[in-house]
Amino acid sequence: MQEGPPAILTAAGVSRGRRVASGGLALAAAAAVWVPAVPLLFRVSPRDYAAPEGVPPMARALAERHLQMWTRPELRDQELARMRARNAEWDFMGRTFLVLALADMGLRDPSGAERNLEVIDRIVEETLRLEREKGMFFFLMPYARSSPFRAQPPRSLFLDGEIALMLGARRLLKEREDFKPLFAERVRIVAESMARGPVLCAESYPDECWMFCNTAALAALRMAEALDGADHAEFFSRWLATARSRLTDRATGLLVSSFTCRGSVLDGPEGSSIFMAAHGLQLVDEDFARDQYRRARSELGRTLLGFGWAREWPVSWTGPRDIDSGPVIPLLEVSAGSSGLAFLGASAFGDDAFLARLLTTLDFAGFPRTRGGALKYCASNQVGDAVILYGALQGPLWRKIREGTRRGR
Amino acid sequence: MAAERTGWRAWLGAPLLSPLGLLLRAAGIAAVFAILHAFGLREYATILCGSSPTGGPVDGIAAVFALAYILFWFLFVLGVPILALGAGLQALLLRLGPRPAPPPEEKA
Repeated sequence: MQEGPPAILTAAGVSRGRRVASGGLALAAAAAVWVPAVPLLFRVSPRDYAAPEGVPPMARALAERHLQMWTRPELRDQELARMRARNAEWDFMGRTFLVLALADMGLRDPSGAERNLEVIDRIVEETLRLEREKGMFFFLMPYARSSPFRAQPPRSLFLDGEIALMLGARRLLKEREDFKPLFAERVRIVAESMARGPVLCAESYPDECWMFCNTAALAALRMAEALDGADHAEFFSRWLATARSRLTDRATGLLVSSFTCRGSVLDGPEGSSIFMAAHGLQLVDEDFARDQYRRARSELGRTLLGFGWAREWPVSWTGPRDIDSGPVIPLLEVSAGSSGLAFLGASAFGDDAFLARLLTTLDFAGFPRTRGGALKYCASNQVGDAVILYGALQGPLWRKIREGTRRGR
Repeated sequence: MAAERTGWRAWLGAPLLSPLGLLLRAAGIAAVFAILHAFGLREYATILCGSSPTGGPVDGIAAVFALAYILFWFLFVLGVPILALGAGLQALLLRLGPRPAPPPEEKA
């Protein structure tokens, strides 16, 4: 006859009540022990991700994946197709963040700068070609065609500002003569279109201005000061005064995320916008930028049991779950878009405590996958990984701009 | 009255809230997760950030794969250790309390 399991394993001969009570008690005790221990398994040292100097191992592995992608067209095409199926903007923003990250990486590790320059040039040249051949709508969401732009001929600050950032970052890493006039032209367009606006901001979509795009454009203007000796100081001070008085949410003190050309608020403060906005503003007014980060951390940042994440909207503002926020996990209100950009904010403002918790969440729920020394997060996409990479490497580029601006004065 | 299970049926038929029942559930979750992982469904987790897992306009099946992988990942990390620890603790509780009565002897 075949033997059955020992009675102690099946609780044979034990009354149902005792079996259920002992099982329930055992599971509750096991959960009480295990759940608090889980974050320890996924803890990542912030120094492995971001460091004041050099290229930390995690950043190097993340960068490797992007460098492979831009040197192997089949990988790039597959990844871009996945993103463009949902949002063409991600394709464009992924390029910007990657160029910024590679420029910072080149400044941190000059021995690898040549490979980075090669990829930066490929990205910038291809982006300019696509814009030239397919028009600006190629990188915009379909609703960009739903009504006419206020500015005629139509221009999107989303493209002009970030293309200026890419060109400027390349030149800051290593000068390229033929990029000088291209950069100067974008900076001129950005400066003129923003100055024309009633609230000193330009539209990215028809009668729709985005704080993300306008603060990125301000950073590009500051790049122009460092590179070519331009002077936008007077414009910066007018812009800051206008933003404080007309583009700030009263409940939180945070800059709103989108508004009409005349300054009517469309969307309140938004996590997928404010962390990048604060980073861009570091080049314009460090104290104001730090105050915006501190408020964003308080209003949007959340931690629990060693995990950290960011909400898309503050509690005081009810906004939609949109393409920028990504899917939002209910109850905890975890937003992929906001949490990804929170890496950039926490790193840029030296918030190691929050950064450590964000990293724990990333390792737990970001589904990392390493192959051949290249790291990617399966729960993310190319633009998400590029933001996380830029968060790890940011610093030297912004320092160089500040030093260049000081020298120019 | 149902006949008493013997052999593998007795192992697999252990009640849920028994040490063996908990261990079997833990093993089942781990096995399903291992299969999903082996089939490369980790890549489909990109759905969490709103990206398309396939690049196609419709991701119905892919979304199901993605959600299954994500669900079993969390069950694997959170549920399996709790079930395994719980099995050990329950066995300890049963051993500490009054011993289970021995099964009735088989009649010749």
